[in-house]
Amino acid sequence: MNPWPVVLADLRALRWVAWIAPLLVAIAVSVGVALSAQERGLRQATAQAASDFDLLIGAPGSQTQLVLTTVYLQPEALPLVDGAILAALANDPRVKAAAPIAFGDVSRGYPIVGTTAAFVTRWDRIKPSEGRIFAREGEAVVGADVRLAVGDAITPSHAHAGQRHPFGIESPEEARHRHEGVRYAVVGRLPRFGSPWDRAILVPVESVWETHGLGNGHAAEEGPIGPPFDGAQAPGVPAIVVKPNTVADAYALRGQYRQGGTMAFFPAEVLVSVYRTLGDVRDLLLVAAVLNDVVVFAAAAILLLALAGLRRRRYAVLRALGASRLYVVLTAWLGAVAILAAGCAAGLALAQLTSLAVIQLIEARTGLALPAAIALPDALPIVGLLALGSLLALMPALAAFRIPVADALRHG
Amino acid sequence: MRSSDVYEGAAAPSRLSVEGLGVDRIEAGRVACAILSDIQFVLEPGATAAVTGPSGAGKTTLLYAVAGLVRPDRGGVRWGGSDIAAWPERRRDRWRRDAVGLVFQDFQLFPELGVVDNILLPTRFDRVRSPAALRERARALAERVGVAAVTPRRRALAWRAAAGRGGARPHPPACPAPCRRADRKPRSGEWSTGRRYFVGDGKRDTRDLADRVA
Repeated sequence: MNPWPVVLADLRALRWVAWIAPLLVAIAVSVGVALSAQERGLRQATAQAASDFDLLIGAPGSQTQLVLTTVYLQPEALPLVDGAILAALANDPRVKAAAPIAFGDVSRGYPIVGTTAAFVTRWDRIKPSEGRIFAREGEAVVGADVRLAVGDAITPSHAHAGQRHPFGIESPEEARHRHEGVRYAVVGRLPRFGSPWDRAILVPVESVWETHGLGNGHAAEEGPIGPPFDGAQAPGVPAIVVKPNTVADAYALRGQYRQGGTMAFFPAEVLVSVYRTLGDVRDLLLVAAVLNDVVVFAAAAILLLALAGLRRRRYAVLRALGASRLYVVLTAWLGAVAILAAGCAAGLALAQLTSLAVIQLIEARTGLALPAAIALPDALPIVGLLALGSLLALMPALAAFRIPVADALRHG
Repeated sequence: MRSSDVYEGAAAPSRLSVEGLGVDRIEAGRVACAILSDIQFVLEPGATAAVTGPSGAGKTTLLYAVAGLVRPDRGGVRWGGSDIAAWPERRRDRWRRDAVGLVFQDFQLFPELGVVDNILLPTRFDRVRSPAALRERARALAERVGVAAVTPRRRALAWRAAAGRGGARPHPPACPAPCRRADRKPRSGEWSTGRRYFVGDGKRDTRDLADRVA
């Protein structure tokens, strides 16, 4: 038994409807899939970007803002935490490493972040893809997406909180606030993190302090850069990233620095809360998307049911020529399933295209590299939807099953 | 080539006998009138017959009853002595596929399929692919009736294609259509050498083809 020749003939007979019906299904399906893929991708990308920030210490305020500014480099004025804590952390046996993160300057739209060489290599996890890490004040390492070459020289400008600068060009606003006399030489480039740090220019924190007339954080005027910092000399910093030795140490440090004029937290805590909200919104939108899908599938099934009515005579001819009821049922059912399946497949492709476009958009706006679009968990609900659609497609098939042949031959 | 070879496993030619056949018109669940009553005839293999009558006389109902598409209210249709109404539906389907060729008044071809695929369509009812030999024979049959290279859209050619589909059986075709334009269609002997008998609803040209006119 091979109903496909008739199924294909039926589809050809539909002409443009055979294209429009799957297209409508595809659009409906793609919304839910793209939504699920984006939300998952955003989670993965944001979690990945935060993975090197074990414990954050900052001045009391908004934890979310501290994460946004430190991990995702969204510029905002943050209260400063006492620089003496840097020295205390350096001597704390529970701390494997600690690095100050200082913001405030910008060059050609790229934020300049002052930190230590150890944090630039993410605690020795990565190596520069080109050149080397800074070794003295006045040297800079650029992120993978910064359009500066090793050997270039830049002059930082003072950035204003909340202000966005176009990447790669010096805006007039930036030119007006240039720190004349301060220059950084680019000595290296980092591999891609897939995070906003790919668009940052990393310099020794001492240079940032000195640029703003705050000294260099060390007792001596001249000397090696990096920790240990002098407790009395180190200026305040917006954030300190701490890598604890053990999980127990992490919780102990978090407890200790939650009092006495500082706050300490794991970025994951903030992310989990953000994810919860994001998840709630996603669930709401997914419910709407699924309802949308069901409505479109039901509409498609009704359309196919109406078609089966119009094809009564065609099916009756098949029966008159000797086709069994099963053959006619299969013909009607496979035709409907083919339209729905084509719609689902096109929907997945459409969702992939949409996701790729949104990924580009998100990356352009935030620097977060979302993982490649659709994954199996996003597509699985479509299998369920297709199963439901196949059940709905039984309606036109059963209508074809019940056709009284002689009557349909005569009256259509 | 014999067109009867197109379908393998076709039912053997048998005597067709219609005995006391009666079919009622049912309206609102009640018998409104008799469409056919006490129809009797016997057709031996190879015989040709035409049925004539005015519109509404029951010619089509008779043909559908003979083809097993309408269940008789009285009497029956026997194929080689066996009452087709007593057969399971699947057997009747298979018998229609193998032994009956229907050519419809308005042809009822699938215009999206080519002529050859229209002719071969019933072979797909019980097999996945039409064997190459069958396809070749169907093509030869289409060429024989002069429609091999056309899509079955033009009316005159559609008749030939429909006749080809109906004629691709060993005992075809039962034809409920007024067979117009007989002068333009191939003579029956040319396109259906396997013809055993012909039941039509005879206008002049249909009658010309028949051995018997009723």
